[in-house]
Amino acid sequence: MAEAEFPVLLVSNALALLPAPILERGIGLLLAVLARKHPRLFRTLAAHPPCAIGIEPIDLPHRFVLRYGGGFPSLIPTGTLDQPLNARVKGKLESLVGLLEGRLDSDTLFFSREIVITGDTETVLSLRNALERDSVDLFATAMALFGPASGLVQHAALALERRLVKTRRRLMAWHEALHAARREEASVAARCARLEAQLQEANARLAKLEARLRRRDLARDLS
Amino acid sequence: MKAYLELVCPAGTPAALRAAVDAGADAVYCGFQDCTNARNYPGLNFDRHELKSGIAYAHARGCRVFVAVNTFARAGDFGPWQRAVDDAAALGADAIIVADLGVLDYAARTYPKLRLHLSVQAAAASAFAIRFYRETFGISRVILPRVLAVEEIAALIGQTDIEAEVFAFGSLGTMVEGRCYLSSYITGRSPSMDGVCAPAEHVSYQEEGNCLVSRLGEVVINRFGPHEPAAYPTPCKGRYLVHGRPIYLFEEPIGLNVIPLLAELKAAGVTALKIEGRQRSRAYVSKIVGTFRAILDSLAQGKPLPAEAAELAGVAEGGRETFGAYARGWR
Repeated sequence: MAEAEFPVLLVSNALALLPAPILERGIGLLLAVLARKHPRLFRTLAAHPPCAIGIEPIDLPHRFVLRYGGGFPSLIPTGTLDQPLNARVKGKLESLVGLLEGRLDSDTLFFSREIVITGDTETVLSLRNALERDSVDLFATAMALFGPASGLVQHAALALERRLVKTRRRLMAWHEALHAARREEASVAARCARLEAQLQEANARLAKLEARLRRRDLARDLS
Repeated sequence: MKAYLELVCPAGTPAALRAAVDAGADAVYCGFQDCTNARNYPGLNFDRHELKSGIAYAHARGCRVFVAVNTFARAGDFGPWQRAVDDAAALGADAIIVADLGVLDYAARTYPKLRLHLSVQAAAASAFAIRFYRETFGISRVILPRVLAVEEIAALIGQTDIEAEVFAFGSLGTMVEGRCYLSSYITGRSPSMDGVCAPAEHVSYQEEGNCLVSRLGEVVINRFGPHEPAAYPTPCKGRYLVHGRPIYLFEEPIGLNVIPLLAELKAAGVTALKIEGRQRSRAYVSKIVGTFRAILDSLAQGKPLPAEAAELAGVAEGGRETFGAYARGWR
């Protein structure tokens, strides 16, 4: 199957909708296919001392716990990450998948704070370096789960992703236009407030002048 | 087309080696998975089989492979360094990068036809030192320490008439290489003896409030505010409390980038440019090597710098770049 861009919008929307047990089942199948395609990676993970890494995609309702070392690895969706963990990795789903696939440079994302890594650095570094050695294509692997229909599903998924991207761009343009209108509204309101203040000041000065005139007229009448 | 300057690129994994070769490296440098090279991080570097495949891949595409055996041999335990030299020679490395006098002597005597490059770890920054290494061990190239200004480099090359390789891009050590013991002082391990500065098992990052705090062992190295770029926990780029004020005592987190100085370096007589970063990903290697390839090819043809030259700041530590000692000398 030809390499294709990971459809991050489609996947993040789909993952947000899936209940945890179904997600867990899907991830289990995905790991089984990955293990067949990347035996060296899975041998490296199995040889590591047992560890648990919390994965926190900030744009998803799910959190995940990745456990490996001493056996077949697991990636379990969870609501919170309050269990004992060796390390945590936090960032947008797009960044996390880009790291997993080796398309993005982890240090660059770390410097810019697009991902945050806390806890045992050695564990995360070992995992990063193990992933670096294998070119994991998560999307192609997920598509392989659909068997003979994988080509069709991939085509449909990418078409849907393009639509989602277009829709998001349109929504962002509307959002920006709305903000621009609000900014304009705000500037009109500020101008009105300034004019109102000037008017009040002019009224006060006029009142003072009128009072002075009245006092002068009164003085003239009395004299 | 005649090469403007030779481009020597890092490879921490076989995937990074392929990325560097594919992106246009003239040579790739790498190391074995042990204490014999100065990037001995968990999961990084090559086993013997991977190096053999990597050399075959590079040679098939006209790219040379240099093997770094550039830490200092432990007293009474020369075995790992001897094996590293033997295996690099047997696997067909084009050169080995060495710092230790004993390793240099062993390699020069045992493999007289194997090119020896003097590692930056040897900190050879004077004509006397460079001539000594050349006359005694027959080194073909010196990798100059990052403590020299461009005019000092020109003078050294003029006085020694030797191939010189200089660092062009990447993380910047502010100390004299091979003589820094800051990491050793805090963790008991150092780049010179163990191949690791700020070893990963001693490093931790924690979110405290809205700050990210980096520690090396028990020592707080830095505390990054919510919108501040993060950095490696290297002691020479730590922010320490001095009279109650947090300041960068030695150097700020910043990356080296000499693109605007390339013409000056070439005029100084430099032979090769070294990209730092065997610990970085294959995505980084691909981007930096590809960009430098495009720049060097443009300069070779007398064309202006391509637009990609401006796109590298984002990948630098701290998100900022410097000319380091090249412009201002060493402080």
